[in-house]
Amino acid sequence: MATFDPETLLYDETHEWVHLEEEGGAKVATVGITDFAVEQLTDLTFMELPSVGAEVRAGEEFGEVESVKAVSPLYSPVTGEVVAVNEGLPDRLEVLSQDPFGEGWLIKVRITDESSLANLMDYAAYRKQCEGEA
Amino acid sequence: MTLLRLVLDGSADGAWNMAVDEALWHVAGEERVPVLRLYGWMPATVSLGYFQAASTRETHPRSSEAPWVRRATGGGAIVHDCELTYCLVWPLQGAAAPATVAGKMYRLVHQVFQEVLTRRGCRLTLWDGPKTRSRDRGFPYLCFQRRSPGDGLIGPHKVLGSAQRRNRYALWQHGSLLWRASDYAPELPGVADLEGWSGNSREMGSSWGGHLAQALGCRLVPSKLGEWELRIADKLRREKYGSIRWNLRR
Repeated sequence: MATFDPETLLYDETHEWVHLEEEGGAKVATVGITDFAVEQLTDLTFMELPSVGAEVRAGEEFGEVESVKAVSPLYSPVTGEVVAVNEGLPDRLEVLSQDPFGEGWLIKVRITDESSLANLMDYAAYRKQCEGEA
Repeated sequence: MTLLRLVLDGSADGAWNMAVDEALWHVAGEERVPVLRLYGWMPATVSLGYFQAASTRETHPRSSEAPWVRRATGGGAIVHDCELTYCLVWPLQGAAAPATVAGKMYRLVHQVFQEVLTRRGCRLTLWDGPKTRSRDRGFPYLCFQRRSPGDGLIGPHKVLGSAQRRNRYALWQHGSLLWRASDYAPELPGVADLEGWSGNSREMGSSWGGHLAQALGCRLVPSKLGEWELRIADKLRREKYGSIRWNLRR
């Protein structure tokens, strides 16, 4: 997968990014975690992602990561059905540090409730949030 | 000043101990009150890290004979026997950077242990070398044979380690100060073994709790588990930590 330009993506406050595209008349979101989140989590050791077909809801957990003995949730930025999973990622988590906006994508979700998109931030707003957290 | 509830709990089995810790975490997230729980284990129990496969227990035959439970927190297997075990739950709602809070808490809790032990003449140091990586050859099964920044060591022996889970509502950190070596893991000496101390760890635990409250800017308030917490814990014990589905999930 090509690396997305971070300035073109949408973000949620828990540091997941979203790339939207149209597929067969439906909006499909590619979801990942940002470079800022990867840096904050430091050394990632384990990850669990959902299966294709799972239902995810905006603001709710869809997976988990472990870093330095801490387990943290991954929150879905959108509501819908998981249509693709980056299956190989948990076995090569270093990719998240190398290419968080490309090869480090996590899941693709066919959106079933577009109202969840209204809560997402653009790049400028997200960067401002990160500055506040740094 | 923020109140920090101190629950001096007794000894219990693994499923109950993990269920109570998780119940406190949920309640702390809802009621926004931090809690420090000190407790023991009866019988001696192995806890596996959340992502550890159950089959890895076979790599340490001696402790594989002990009862075991899967934790919801990260890290490696711990033989809970002669140790001081704590659980600290800390509300995160409104925290600007939960990951940063979690990292600082890990360090702070261990620094306070270091202060309290140093006053008693113990030479505890906090590890600032490289972390043992899961991709390294021979990645140890036991937490106390791994090294992460902030772990507490006496000489080459790790005696203090902690693990965490967090969500958007609260941080859950629990950890162990090894007091004496367990028959299930005699290769891991505790503080009392290394310092030649007699007595148990309970008195030191209370002293540590007071210093921790001070470091957190809190007022320590003796407390007991509430009815609501006990009800949640009972459900978690039955449906999660006492279940094969949870313990054999990996």
